[in-house]
Amino acid sequence: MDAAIEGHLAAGRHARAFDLIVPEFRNRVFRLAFSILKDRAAAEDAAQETLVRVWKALPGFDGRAALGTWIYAITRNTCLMELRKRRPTVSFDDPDSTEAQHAATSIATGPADDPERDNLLRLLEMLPANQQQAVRLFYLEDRSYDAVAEALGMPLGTVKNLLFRARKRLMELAQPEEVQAA
Amino acid sequence: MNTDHFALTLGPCADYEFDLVELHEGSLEAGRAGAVQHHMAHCARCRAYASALGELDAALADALPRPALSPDFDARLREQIAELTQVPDRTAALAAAEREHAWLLQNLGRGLSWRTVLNAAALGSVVGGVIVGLDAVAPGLLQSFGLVGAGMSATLTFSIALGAVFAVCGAVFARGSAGGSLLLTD
Ligand SMILES: [Zn+2]
Repeated sequence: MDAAIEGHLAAGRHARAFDLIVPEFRNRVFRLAFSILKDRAAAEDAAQETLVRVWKALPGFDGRAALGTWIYAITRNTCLMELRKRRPTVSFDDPDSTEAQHAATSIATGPADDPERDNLLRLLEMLPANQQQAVRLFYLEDRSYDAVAEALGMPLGTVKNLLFRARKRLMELAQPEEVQAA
Repeated sequence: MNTDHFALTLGPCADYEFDLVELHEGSLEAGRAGAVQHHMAHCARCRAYASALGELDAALADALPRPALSPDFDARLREQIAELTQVPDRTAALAAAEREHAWLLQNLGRGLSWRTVLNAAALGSVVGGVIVGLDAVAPGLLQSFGLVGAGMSATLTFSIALGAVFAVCGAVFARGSAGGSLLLTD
């Protein structure tokens, strides 16, 4: 944790600490929220809500957990509540579900008319939710296993294993059908 | 695509598959990296896997969106925080509390006035009943005490007295509604 933030927190200057927390964490919170919600606007709202919660709860932060660990846990909870609100249409295991289609359209914000890219994103949607999330976050965090582990609150080995299995499965899925059938 | 798809279907050698990922990411210790590269030179399956891994990595890095926060993110957050920290305007809060207080007093006063009217009516009825009863049992008794005028029946006297009680209570209630309570003071 940044020493200045730590100093303000120790002295009970929560508002000053918060002023430093926002620039330090807003993008990381947003990227984590995006990896879970797969929608830019929803992720931004979740990041706002997370930071408001951090602001409210900061006087009760006792420093037993690292500040980042604590903020990411609040982020994940906020996103899970958002997912629960969507629940009637959520089915991550069913690629034809409304949610999967919504996610597929919401992430198609890059260069248009790139069939290979669209196909890869569709294959990614076929992975279990935790593998998808790890993959998204890994590339959002510039391939940093440590950043993914911290944000997801998982041991480093678990994250490496998740990503290993996700990429292996993607390679299998990406093979031409005649090869897959062979 | 340089990948040997048939070799890829067979998968990498189990002893090398984790190392191939670390080699690709540049995190494999130098001695082990040399051994893995030597193995790959002779193993089409591991070569195919390493090649596919590189292609997949580049494709994912290219395909996955990297959204950015809106420029007004901080401003929106500041607004939300300000709403939470805002101390309510003291003058407005005081005015609202006074309005609420006045409304409460007026309604309380009205309730009590109604009660007063009903109590007075009940009391009037009881007193009237006693007067009428006495007149029936001992005619002339009330007149001898001067309670009933000469030539007036007790019933007529009772009716006049009851009318007077209602008139007084009506006036009290009207004042209570218009100008606040007569029964409660600040
Ligand atoms: Zn091999």
